[in-house]
Amino acid sequence: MGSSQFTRRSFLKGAGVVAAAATGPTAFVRTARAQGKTLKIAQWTHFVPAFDDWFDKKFTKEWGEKNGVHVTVDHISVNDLRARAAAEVGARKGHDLFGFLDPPPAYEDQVHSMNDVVSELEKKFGKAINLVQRATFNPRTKNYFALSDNWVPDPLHYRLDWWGEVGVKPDSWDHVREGARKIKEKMGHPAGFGISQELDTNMMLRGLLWSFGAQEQDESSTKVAINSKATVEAIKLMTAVYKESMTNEVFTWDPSGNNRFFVSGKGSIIQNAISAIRTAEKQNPDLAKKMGLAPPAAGPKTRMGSEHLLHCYVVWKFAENPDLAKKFIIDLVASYNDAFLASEFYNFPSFPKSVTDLRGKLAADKFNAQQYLILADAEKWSAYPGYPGHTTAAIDEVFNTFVIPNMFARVAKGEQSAEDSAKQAEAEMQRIFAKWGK
Amino acid sequence: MGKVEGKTSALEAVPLGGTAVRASRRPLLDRESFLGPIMILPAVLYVLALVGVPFVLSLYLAVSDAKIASTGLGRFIGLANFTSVLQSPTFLRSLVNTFVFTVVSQALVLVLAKILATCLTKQFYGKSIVRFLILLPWVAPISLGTIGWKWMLDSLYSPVNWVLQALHVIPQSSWPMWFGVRELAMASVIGVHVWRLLPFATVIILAGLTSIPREVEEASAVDGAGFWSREFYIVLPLLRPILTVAGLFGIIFAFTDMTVIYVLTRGGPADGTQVLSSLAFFTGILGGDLAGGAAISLFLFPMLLLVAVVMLRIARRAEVS
Amino acid sequence: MAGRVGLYLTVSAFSALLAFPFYWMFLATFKTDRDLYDLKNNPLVFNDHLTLANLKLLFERTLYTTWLWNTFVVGATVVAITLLLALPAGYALARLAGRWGEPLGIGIFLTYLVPSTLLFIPLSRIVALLGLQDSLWSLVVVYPSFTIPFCVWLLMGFFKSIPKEIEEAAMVDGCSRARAIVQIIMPISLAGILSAVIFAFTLTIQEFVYALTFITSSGAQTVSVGVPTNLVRGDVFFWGSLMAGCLITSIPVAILYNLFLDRFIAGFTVGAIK
Repeated sequence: MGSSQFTRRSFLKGAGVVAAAATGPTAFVRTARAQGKTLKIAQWTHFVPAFDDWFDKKFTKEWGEKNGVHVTVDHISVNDLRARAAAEVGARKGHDLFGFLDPPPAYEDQVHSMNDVVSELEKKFGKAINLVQRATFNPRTKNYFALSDNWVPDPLHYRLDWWGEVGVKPDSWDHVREGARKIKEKMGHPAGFGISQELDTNMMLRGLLWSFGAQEQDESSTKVAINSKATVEAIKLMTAVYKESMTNEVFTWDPSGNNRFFVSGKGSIIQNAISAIRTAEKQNPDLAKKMGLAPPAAGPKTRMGSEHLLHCYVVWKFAENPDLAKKFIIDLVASYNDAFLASEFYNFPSFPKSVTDLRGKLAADKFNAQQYLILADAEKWSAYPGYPGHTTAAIDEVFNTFVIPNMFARVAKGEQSAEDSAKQAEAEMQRIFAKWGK
Repeated sequence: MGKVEGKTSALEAVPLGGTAVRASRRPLLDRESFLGPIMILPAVLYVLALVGVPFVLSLYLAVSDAKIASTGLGRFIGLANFTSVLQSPTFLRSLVNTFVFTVVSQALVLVLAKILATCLTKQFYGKSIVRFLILLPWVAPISLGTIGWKWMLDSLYSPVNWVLQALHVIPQSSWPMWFGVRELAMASVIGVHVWRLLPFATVIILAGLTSIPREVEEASAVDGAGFWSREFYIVLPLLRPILTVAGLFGIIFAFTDMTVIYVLTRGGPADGTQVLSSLAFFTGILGGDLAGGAAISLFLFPMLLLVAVVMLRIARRAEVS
Repeated sequence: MAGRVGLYLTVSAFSALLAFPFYWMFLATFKTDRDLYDLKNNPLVFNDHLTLANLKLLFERTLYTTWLWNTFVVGATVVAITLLLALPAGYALARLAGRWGEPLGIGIFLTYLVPSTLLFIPLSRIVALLGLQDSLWSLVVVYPSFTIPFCVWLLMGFFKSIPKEIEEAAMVDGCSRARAIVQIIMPISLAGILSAVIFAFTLTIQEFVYALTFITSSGAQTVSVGVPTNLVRGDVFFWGSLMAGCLITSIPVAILYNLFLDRFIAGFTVGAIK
């Protein structure tokens, strides 16, 4: 894992501080850096441990050998990425490459432009998918502030057996509402659309809003547009789903909550990245065979979900080896066939051509190929926070202070009417937009 | 009257100098005007050097417009951050929650710790095991212990709910959603916070109790004072300096620490457990509005300062005669 | 008699409530996933065979032993530094301070009012300037900044509850104040000193924000950061290993503290100075 093998070989200097034990506290010593160049990467601990194995022990090692560079990879828990990034910026010192799981527009002034990397990759693989472009590009400065190598789709997970029994497919939100209600009435199993202050809720509810034609902001990313009839309709639908087929546990969740809910066999439907079904395959294979995937439910206007995660790298302005860092990203994207498979399909390529025959790979899945094929068109039904504008710093703050989840929660709990809640959300968003000078 | 360990008189063990020492020619180490500063200075310098500048910086952030990636310190904008947050219903709710969380948890901690500490001054079978058990919540790394509580109060798997159901206190069909209902969520975070601080407060109070001279208690017992009057008229007053300081630190800690809330509820449901420290984190670090986050963190700074000064005065004045 | 029964009941209740989660953690450490996640199972017993898989994951796939070592070493060092600086300061504030002592004491304390979730950003700049980025030394240098103030006040409180007459009596007899401190006051305040040690050590091994932001390489992490970082992967928690990590860190420390507590509770020989 990471630099462990390297630091273990270092020896302890600094006498008198600690009684030396068998494995001394090597971390006290500035470890003698390898001769030559180093590349330091920071990214999240992938939910598929095998991916980190591939990345840390195979890919970066081989790349390092080929390019005469010593590569270190440090992992950070997804919850702590932002704090760590803030510290590195505050300290003006840290890694060369920093991997965010959602685009960091607020950091634009602190990172190198990725325009050169993007054009290089476009030459090889064509354009990145639209959602990636709009989420990592600042139209005012005409600058790509981050480079996304992969993104994660957010499909519906549902119980094939139960939905089959009530004869409904979760195709549109009305179908979802109807089917979830029937299952709850007939069999007692609740649905699981989280309405908590956490990531999954943030993503799922945005998809719901878009499918009704509602949006957070306008296309120019300058005006708050949340308070609309479409928003109110969307809120009312989710409130109905809550009242008819969910329990108040949906207010208690963090990102792992709906996974547990579904994989334990209790829930009838959730919306999540495929980590849920993959976990089921490992934990309860029999149950996993009864699970199905579907594209996000369609609303009156369109079928749209959000990306669940958008993994993107930035190169800090204070990075020691920015050119090496950029080269690394280019080579990483070029190796995305391996990355896609190593991640068990979690990492969908941002440059679609970087994975050859994606559909074929999905169809070759050993466990549940038929379900995973659903994801083949994921790009068509996925957008990003801030759609149809760009992901700006203001939208980022709206996201991280859970304005949208709370807007829904207040109504579901009966504390406010949908109209008032939308007004309150609008006021909050305007306050935030004003702060960021938009 | 004090306690002296062991020997009849420690004074006999102290070799006297040949000559009597007069006040006017006291050696340097005895001159209080010298000794005092020498003894305090290292601690002061250390803290100032390390925290002084960041501390002042943080205060300045609250009145600037700095964002997370600002290169400089941002521009001075006066109280604009404060007026901005005051318009947010989320902030107002966080303010209320902070008071509730702090006051309730600290009151519970102090009362429960006093009870437990008193019990531990007595002798009973299995005392060693009990002491071990009650220390556990405190020594467990916070990040991990709180993750454990996540499961303990989980909507699906909670052993707590399971036990309550087995005891027929709650029905099968409606388990309490510890993180999903405002009041329960607040109770949960307060509960976990008390759980983890109780051993610490107990140890402090216990140490305080044991340094109360035995003769004082024995004398009062001989005088016929009952348990409760001894408690209120003798023990508690003697404990006052320690209780005050422990209470004050507890309050400050509850105001500034957000780990329990961050891990368990993230401030939910619908800001039901959002407190100033967690809101500041979400706004400043995750949301990128660093100055706004600072303003939220430091909103109660003047009040806390006042409380601190008052309580520290009280602690200093308490003397044992 | 009723008093005894009440005592045992109270103590049992406290023990049960405080230690109950650890019982569950113990179970989770050895439970198979199948057992843990089955909604129909009794969570308080083993329903399946016991397994060492979670422990294996913790020790083999992560650097847990390294983190344990790092944590304890940092803890011990910080405690040493803290005592070195806080003992004299606490005494001075209790006895020698005079007029400027009060504002000074309050001043030291003020630093607590700014939370670490705000301080860590400018502090990481300082750490970087000192060249301590990504090294455990950064923690050793920074942690005393929050252990010292509390220990100063804690010790001040203890010193204050020792009557002034003791040192004064000693000094009248010709002993220098410094000597009086070392030979008379220190032994009496052992309870307070040990409390300060325990407190400083605990705060250190628990701390999260600074450990997270100053250090990223796995080999240099402490337990409180390393374990969640590696065992909370996105939305998948490795519960068994997480809880094992918690238990293995807590139990030895709790045993150690228990021994310390023994020292000063076991009874004082009492001598009165007339």
